[in-house]
Amino acid sequence: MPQPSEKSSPEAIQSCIRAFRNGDESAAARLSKLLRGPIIRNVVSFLGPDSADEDDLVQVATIETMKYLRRETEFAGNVVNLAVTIARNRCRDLKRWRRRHPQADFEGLNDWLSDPASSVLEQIETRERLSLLQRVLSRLAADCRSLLKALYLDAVPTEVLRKSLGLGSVHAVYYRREVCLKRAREFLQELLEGRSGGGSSEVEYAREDTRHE
Amino acid sequence: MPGKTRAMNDRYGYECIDPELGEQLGGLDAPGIDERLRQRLRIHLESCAACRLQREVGDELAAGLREGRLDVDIVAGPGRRPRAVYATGWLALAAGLALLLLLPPQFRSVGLMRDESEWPAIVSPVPEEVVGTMPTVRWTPIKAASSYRITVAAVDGAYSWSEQTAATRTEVRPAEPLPRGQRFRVTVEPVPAHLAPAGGLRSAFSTGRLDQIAAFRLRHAPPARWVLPAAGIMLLLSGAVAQAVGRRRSA
Repeated sequence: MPQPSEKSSPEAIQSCIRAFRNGDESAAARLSKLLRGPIIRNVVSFLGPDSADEDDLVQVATIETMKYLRRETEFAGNVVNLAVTIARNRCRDLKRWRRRHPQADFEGLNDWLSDPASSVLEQIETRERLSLLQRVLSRLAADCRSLLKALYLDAVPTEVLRKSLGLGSVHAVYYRREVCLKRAREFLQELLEGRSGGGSSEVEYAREDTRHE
Repeated sequence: MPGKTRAMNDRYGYECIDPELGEQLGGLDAPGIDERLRQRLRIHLESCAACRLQREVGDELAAGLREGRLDVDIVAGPGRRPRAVYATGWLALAAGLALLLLLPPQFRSVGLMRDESEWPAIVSPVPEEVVGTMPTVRWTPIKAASSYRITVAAVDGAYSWSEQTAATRTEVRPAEPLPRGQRFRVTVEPVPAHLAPAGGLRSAFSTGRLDQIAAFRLRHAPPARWVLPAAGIMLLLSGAVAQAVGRRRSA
């Protein structure tokens, strides 16, 4: 089988993923090689060229990507985008962790990085968390607050909500809720990261990655 | 999604690793969802930091709202707080009206003197003012006066009261309430009399009920006193508009 590259056709890459899912070890190696370049570029853009954590992050992101591909057997999207998004999310985790533990030793970081269940919210004290969530809630649009209030506070049945919102199915109610929660999550992260977080290089790479879409 | 928009959205936090699947995250709670999709979403959730955080935010909001630790104001739009606007509006209106009603009308000289402040006059009650039955008569001091004679007399002649005060005083109140609903003339004469125009300083007023007093004060309040109640009304109107917009959005 030919080596897939970033310029390979989507079909060739999908074929490699299928082989990997079927247990082809060489396909795993080819995939890993394909993903390494884009992951490194994104990690470097986040952490800077001299970061000692680069190799670990690349490894963690690659392993997580492969694991996802193996388990989510219906994934048919852009695998490079998947990998760099996982890598960038882990970079964000690392930056946040570094801010909170500036003197931490490497072993502690390594353990934490390999635990995908680390939660942003769990790291914030209850009182601060409530204050943040209150601010998030206040920033949401009125229709979102109204929906969340109906669902969470008033416990209005989704079928009743569906009718009152004029939606075709209860799934649409849940879809709307997720849209609101997505906004809430984005507001929360803006509050957590601060306006100066991220940096222009992050924006630059987000642009670059759209080319793979 | 256009690159620029995505870049801006990505800047502040996690990105969904598989947006096509992530958009269906709500399906995890929806009844009757395909079991295979539910399983895919569970797997996605394990790997996607963005969606995991989104679920956590939802859970925390739900718990906070149910337990009353979070407050949700469904009327307010983003960045607006109609409750606060309303409260401020009512406060400004109440304070403004109180000032309008409690503060007596301001005396305005109608003299032709260049420096009117030096022209002696009765400053309270102002001409034609409606007052209570125990009005305070005030006047501007007259230089060299050794005392003042104050006379308050009903126009119909049925009542009259006078008092002489020392030169140091420039206000007096009648010893007993004046009859209500009558028109009075008030005269302040300095001693010696030639220090004031012939016949002394003169004014006229009426005694009336509280509503008549309030009506007079509202009619004759200087424009500056209307600023606060007007601001209150403006705030109430803007709060009502914000509320209406919020309701329309919620509908």
